[in-house]
Amino acid sequence: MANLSDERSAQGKHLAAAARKYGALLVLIVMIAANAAITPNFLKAGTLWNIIIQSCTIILTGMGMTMVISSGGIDISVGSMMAVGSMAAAKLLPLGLAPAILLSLALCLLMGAFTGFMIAKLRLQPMIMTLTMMMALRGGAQVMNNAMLLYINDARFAMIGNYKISGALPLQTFVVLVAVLAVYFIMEKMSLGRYIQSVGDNPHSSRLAGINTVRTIIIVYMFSAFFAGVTGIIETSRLSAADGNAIGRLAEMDAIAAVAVGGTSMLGGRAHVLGTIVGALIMQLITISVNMNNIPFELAQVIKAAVIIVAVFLQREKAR
Amino acid sequence: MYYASGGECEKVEKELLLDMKGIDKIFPEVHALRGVDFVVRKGEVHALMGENGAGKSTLIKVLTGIYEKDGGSITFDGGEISPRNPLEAQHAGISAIYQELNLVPFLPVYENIFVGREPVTRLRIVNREEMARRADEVLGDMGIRIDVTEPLNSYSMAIQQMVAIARAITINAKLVIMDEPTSSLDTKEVKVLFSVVRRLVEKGIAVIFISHRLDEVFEVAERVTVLKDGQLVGEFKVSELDQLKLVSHMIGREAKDMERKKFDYRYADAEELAVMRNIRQGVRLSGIDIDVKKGEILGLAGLLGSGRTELAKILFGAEIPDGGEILFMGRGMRLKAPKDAIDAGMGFCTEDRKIEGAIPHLSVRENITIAMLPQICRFGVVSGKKQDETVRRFIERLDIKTPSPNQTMRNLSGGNQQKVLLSRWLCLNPKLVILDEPTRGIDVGTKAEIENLIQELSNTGISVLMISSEIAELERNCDRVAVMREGRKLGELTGADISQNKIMELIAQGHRKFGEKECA
Amino acid sequence: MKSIPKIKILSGISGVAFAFVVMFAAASVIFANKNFLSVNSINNLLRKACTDGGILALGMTFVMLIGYIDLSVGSVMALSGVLAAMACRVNPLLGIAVGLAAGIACGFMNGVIVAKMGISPFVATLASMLGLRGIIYIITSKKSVSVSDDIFTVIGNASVGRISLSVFILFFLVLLCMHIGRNTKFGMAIYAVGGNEEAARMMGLNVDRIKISAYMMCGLFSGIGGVLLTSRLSAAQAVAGENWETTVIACAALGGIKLSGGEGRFLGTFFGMLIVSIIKTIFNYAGNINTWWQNIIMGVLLMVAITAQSDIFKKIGHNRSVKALTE
Repeated sequence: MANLSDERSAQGKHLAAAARKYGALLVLIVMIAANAAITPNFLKAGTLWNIIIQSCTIILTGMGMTMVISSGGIDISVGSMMAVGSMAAAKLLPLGLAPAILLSLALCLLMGAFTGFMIAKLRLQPMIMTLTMMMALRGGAQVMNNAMLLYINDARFAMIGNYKISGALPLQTFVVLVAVLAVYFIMEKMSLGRYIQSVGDNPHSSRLAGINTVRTIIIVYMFSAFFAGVTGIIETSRLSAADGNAIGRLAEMDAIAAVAVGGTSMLGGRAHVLGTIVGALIMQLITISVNMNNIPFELAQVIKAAVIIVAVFLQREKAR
Repeated sequence: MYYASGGECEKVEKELLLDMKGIDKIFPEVHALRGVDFVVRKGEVHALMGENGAGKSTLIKVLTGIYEKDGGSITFDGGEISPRNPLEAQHAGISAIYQELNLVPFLPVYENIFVGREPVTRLRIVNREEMARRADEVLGDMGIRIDVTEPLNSYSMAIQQMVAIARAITINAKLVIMDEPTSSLDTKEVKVLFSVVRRLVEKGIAVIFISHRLDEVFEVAERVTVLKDGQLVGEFKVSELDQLKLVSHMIGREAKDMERKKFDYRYADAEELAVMRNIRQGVRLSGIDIDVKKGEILGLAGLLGSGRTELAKILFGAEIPDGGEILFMGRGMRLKAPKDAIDAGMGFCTEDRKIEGAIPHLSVRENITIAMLPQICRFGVVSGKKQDETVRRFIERLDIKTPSPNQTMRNLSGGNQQKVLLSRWLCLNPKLVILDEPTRGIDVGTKAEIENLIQELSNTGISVLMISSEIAELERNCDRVAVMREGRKLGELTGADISQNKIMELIAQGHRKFGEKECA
Repeated sequence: MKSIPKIKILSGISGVAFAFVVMFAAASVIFANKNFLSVNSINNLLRKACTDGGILALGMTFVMLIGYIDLSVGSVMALSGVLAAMACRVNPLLGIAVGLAAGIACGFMNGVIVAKMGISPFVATLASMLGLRGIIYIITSKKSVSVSDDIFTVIGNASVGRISLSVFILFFLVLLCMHIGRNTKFGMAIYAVGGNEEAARMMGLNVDRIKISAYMMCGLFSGIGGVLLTSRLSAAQAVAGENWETTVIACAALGGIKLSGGEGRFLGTFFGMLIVSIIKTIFNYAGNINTWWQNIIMGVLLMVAITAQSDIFKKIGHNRSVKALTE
């Protein structure tokens, strides 16, 4: 009797553990399967390819967000940072393509470093500090061109977001791939990644283990700002216009949702880089499948909300 | 396994207050309690003893409704109860004061005493005057006069503890449970606590007293119940026990007095590894000189609040002193962060493993190698091979019990976590290891292992600076002991001179010396 | 012992209050020629504070005091407004009731997801922010719902003398919140949970219920905000309150409410919303400055405010000595 219940509880535990570990993947698979059954033309390569391409923005900002959340913080200035990167690049374009991109990214890095400094050194709460950055940077992006659309007539700049390698593979997927590999490598193979996760898990222990916690946190926010800048530039190039008002609105929320759905704890600690990709794909898959089934787009938001809750619920850790 | 018959006491006893019979508690991984009986009489102080993992806190949590029992019955004050949460236990008259004080730091003292059952006026408005008045009254009864309208966190730990007790009293508790109440108090404060405990007993309130400190149990408790591995060993009258017997009941075998390892002082001429001169910091350290010689084990003795931990943190760069000089291997050091000390060749096992040691959600592997990463990195990339090799070596050498190096740290037992943290420093080949309470909260078996390891380090030429509240532990292990009190060094003992009595004497003398100064 | 507990009116929030007074004084001097210091403009200032998220900030304060956050306030407000407008076609009082009930229901949902399912409050309320907005769009097809009922629209537009009714409502709600925070068991419980959740649990408080109640209060205030805004505009807009959550959090943070919970007071939030409101007013008066500078200034100001409140600038709490013990 006791044995039986032991066995059952052990089985239950394994199931629960599996759900915790692969919860997001499970949701993704279920959704793909459901779509394959319901949605016409879903399983065509083109559709799947579309999902991947369209989730590039979320994945890219999600990479920075994964690092930030893993370090025990949060960055809601990502969307505004995108706008700053976008406007700065557009404004600087007369200097030439490379200087424009490099300088605007440098600006983003600087802003990220400032955010990180305020959080790490002055101990401001990340949520509030990045909230102020969100406001200030959005204002900054608007001020740069008096809140008007800035059209860009530069064929080479337009290529960043539109060029397709051998006509099929968009350049931006390549950028995303590099970013994902880099972040994965940093988090899993480099000492920096361990420092980030360690600081997020227990800052006191980390400092006493010789980790420069202030530097680690500053670096993390610089990464987040950098990826936001890159995303902003790609978006701008795709649209051939920089819009300080609109670019990146709610981008931080998408990124945070992707990270949370991907299984990284909001309290910091273990980072799930690949999980974030799964999270981003889930978000995008919802949008696309709703589109393809002629369901009102608004419903996608409701479904997203439900999926976020379910996925995070599956992966939650009881003890935390 | 044996059940002692020593618990069969005369029947002309105080009335039973609490009678727990055959308590069972099963967790998914362990059978935490197996048919434990536990009896407390009205108006007695009853100590609950056992090694870590013996089931003390599980038993308490069952009693206070935090855990649900899987079997057995609880009779309290004549009726059967089975509380499902702390509130129900409180209503029955059972109140617990936990190690990590469960109070709200920002709230005023009186609110802390009354939160959840505030007196209200006719208009359902909470009556602050009434609360403050009653808080004054109940604390005054305990001999404590403070301004109860100040936030709790403006008072010392001892006072906070008293506030917790006051809270228990005001809910008309018939049974107060104190879980390691003295762990953060100094001797003077412990005395006050005990006098409060005696006042409770006079009022007919029973106290369950949990402590690792044997002396305290012998001082304050009438009876002691010993648990081991989730089972009852027996109930004894304290007057019929001595410390050795009690320990042997707790660990279930005849406790040999652990051997003393050092007698001769061999380091008189050894070179000085670390020297701290005239270290000052606020009111906690007022000009301390300490030197650690190469290969020796230097103990820091003193009561809590004597500044031992602060001194260690300064040597490790975790805190910045107001003044003073630190030399390491003859060179002057300006330590700004622990990293500087680590680079110089130091390691520091902190007192509080949970907050200042473990990185709970990362694996054992990462926990061992986190401080070592700069050494096994090339261009910031960690060499997995070197990492695995180190981890394997130390798991073997320290006999760390973990299913795999990938196990998350928080799933390890306290003793094994401590070994992991030791490994973190030992893998750096340090010149000096600072150990702050290295055996606190660790079971007797692992304790011996760790003590042996400390000797081994010293034999291989590594210096050890060891802080411990257990004077016997210092006596057993140290080559030299520096005695501290209230931020000053009172004296040193070497080799065969080190003994519990002499250390106590030094502390007591210091008390007199500085006591006079305070009066002047 | 002379320990009669008194909470000084401005203790802990004197900085914010002072900042507001300085800004107000400066504005009245600079814009003296534009009649800044008139009943009308002060009434406008307060009315703006009320309808532009001030009421939501009061609600948010409940949630922030327990150490949590609610990103869905804007969506909840819009949903309440829309449902109120729809119910208004039957009966204006029903409209108000439905609006408030919708707010409470949304708060209840948030609270349950956070407290019972153990999902991080940020993620949970982010999801409800998205989801509820989707529901609004579906109900309204993204169009605004107009209200023609006079009784309903009077709430947001009527004046008593030269003071708007909504200003009175705001004052009433601020006083109500201060009363709840200071004088009720619920208020004390909120501070206890925010100060040390584990302790609150051990003290026998029903922590989950308190969390859910705090979210319900937040929902209720969002509902009130939605009803007021709908009444004022004579229409419920589907996009109402979009991106408001940040301003609302900023109001509370400016007022000294700590995100970590347990610290801060409702009166602080009140001054926080006044500061946000006066910045907007100053921009209105200045006229020639582009409004997007508002964002920058608000961001910088918030940064200064929270930096000044940061722990590292506080003196380390001195421990009263053991002497009290030895008597």
